[in-house]
Amino acid sequence: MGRFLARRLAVTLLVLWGISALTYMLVAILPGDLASEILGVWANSRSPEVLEQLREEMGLNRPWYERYVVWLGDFVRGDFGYGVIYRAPVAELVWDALKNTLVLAVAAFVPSTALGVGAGVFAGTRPNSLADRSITTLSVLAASVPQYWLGLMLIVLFALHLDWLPAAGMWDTRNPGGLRDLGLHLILPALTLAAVPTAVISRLVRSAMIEVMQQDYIRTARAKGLHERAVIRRHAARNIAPTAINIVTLQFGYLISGTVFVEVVFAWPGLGGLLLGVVASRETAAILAITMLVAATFVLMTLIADVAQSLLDPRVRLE
Amino acid sequence: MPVAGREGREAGPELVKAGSEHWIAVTWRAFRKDRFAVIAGIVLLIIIAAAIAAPIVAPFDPYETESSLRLQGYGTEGRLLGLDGQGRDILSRLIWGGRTSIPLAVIPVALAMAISMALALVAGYVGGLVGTTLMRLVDMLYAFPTVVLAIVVAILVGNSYPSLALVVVAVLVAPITRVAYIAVREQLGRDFVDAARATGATPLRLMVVHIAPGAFPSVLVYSSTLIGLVIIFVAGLGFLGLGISPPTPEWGLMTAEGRTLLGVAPHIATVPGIVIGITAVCFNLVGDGLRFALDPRTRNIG
Repeated sequence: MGRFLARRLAVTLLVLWGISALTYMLVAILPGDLASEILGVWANSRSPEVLEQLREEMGLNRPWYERYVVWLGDFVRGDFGYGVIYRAPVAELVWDALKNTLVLAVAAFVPSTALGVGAGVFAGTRPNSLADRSITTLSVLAASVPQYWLGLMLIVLFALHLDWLPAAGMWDTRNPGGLRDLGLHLILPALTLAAVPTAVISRLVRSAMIEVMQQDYIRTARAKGLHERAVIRRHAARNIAPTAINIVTLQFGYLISGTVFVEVVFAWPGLGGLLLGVVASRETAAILAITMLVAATFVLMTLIADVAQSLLDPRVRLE
Repeated sequence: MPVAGREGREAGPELVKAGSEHWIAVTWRAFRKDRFAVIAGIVLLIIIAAAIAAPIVAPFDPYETESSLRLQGYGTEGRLLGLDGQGRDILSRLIWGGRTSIPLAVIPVALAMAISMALALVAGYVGGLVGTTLMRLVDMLYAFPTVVLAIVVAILVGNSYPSLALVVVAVLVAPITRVAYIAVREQLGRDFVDAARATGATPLRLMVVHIAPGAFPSVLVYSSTLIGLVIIFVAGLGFLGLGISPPTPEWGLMTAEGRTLLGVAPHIATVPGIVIGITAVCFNLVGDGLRFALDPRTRNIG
C-alpha cells in the first residue's frame, strides 16, 4: 500500500505538471493576451506602440516557456499571481469562489448519494420488477436532461409561478445573511445539480447489487432461513459498500468540476463563473490556478476512491 | 444480412448459431428485441431526416421575423411551437438547428473513435516505452477537467464549426482511448494474433486486419453511449455563449435566448430544451440497446 501510494502520488504530480504546461501553452500561443484585453479593442487599433509597451512591461513579449518557468516557480512557492481585471490576488478570488462552489456541491452531493444508493439497492434487489423498471427509466431520463434546461424549468415553476424560492444568486440582495437565506437560495441549484449524479449512482449501485445477489453466499444465507431483509442488510449491502463508496467518491470529483452550467443559470458566484470570466479576459494566472485546483481535486478523488475501496474490500488489490 | 435473423429466433438458442454469423447480424437480431431501443432509433431517424430535409420540411424560414407575432405561445395559427423573442418560428428553427447540433455531436465522436483506435493500436501493439508514454499522455488528458478544457479551448479558439468539433474531440479522445487500449490489449493475447504473426503478417496488417476488428465493438458501444452526453454538452456550450454565434439556429443557443424571457414567454426556453433532452434520451437508449446486444453475457438477461 505504501509503495502504491507513493507511486500514485508521483504520477499524480506528473499529471498535474503536464496539465499546467499544456494549459499555459494553450493560453499563450492562441491570439490575444491580457495586455490587449486591458487596453481594449479601440486602443489596440489606434496605438499599437502603447500595446507593445504594456506587453513589454508585463513581460508578455517573452516566449511562453520562459514565462511558464517563472510562473511554475511562483506557483509551487504559493504565489498564485494577481487578477488584474478583478483587482484582487488570484488566491483570494479562487478561494472565495471555491467556498461557494463547495457549498453548492455538498448540498447536491448529500441528497444524491442518499437517494442514489437507496434507489440502486432497492431496484437491484428486485430486478425487472415494476419498481426496478420505473427507477431505471427515471434514471435514464434524469441523466439525459440538460442541467441548464432543468434549472430554467425549476425557476419558471418555483420562482416565477409559485414564487416560493428565489430565482438567482446566493444571498438576498436587500437583506443578505443567515442560514435561512442561504438555504432558500440553495434549494433550486442544488436540486438541479443533484439530478445527474443521483441517476449515475443509482444505476451503478443497481448493477453492483444485482451481481452480488447472484453470489453463492447470498444463496447460503437464504438457505439457512435468514429473513430477506437481513440477507440484504448483512450480506449484500456490506459487500457492495466498498464499490458504492468508490462510485460516490468519483461522482463528487465530477460534481466539483461540473458546476458551471448550474452556476451560470442561477448566477451562483462559484468557480465556473469565475473561470468563464478569467478565460475571456486572458488572466493566465487565474486560469491556471482554477484549472490546477479542479484537476487536482479530480485526480485526488480518483485516488481516494481507489484507496478507500481497497481498504474496505481485501479482494481489491492495488497494483 | 439482417434478414437471417428471423429463422434464427425460431430455431432456438441463438448463441449456438452466433459463432457462424457476422457480428453485425447477431447484434442487429439482439438489438431488435429491445423495444425501447428500436423506438428510440426510429425517433432519432425522424429527427435526423427532418434536419436533413429542413428546407422542405420546415414550415417557415428560420431567420424570418414576424414582429406582430413576437413571443406568441404554442399553437398560434400555424405556428405549432410558437415564436421567439424576435418573432421567428420556433419549430422551423428547431428543425434547422438539428443541422448544427446533431453533426456537432456525431462527427466529433466518430473522429475521436478513429483517433482513439489508432492511438490504442500503436500504444498496445508497440508497447514498451512508446506505449507507456502514449498512455501516460492520455491519462493526463483524462484528468483534465472536461468543462475546464472545453471552456478554455472554446473561448480561445473561437466559435466556428471546426473549432467546436475540435473542442469535443479534445474532450473525448482520452476516455475513448482508455477503453480502446483495454480492448486492444485483450485482443493481443488471443491465439489468432500469434498465428497471424507467425505467418509473417506485417505489423500494420496485424493491427488493422487482425486486432482492430476485435477491439472495435467495445469502442463502438462505449462511444455510442457518449453521444447523448455530447449532444447535451455541445448545446451547453451554445447555452454558455461559447458555441455557434447567433442568429444561426442551434438548440443550446435557442435555450439561452429564452432564458431572459422566462417570465414573459417560458416556451422559448422550454421547447429547445425538450428537443435536446429527447435527442439525448434516444441516443442513450440506442447506445444501451447496442451495449446489451453486443455483450453476450447480458444478452439473455435483458
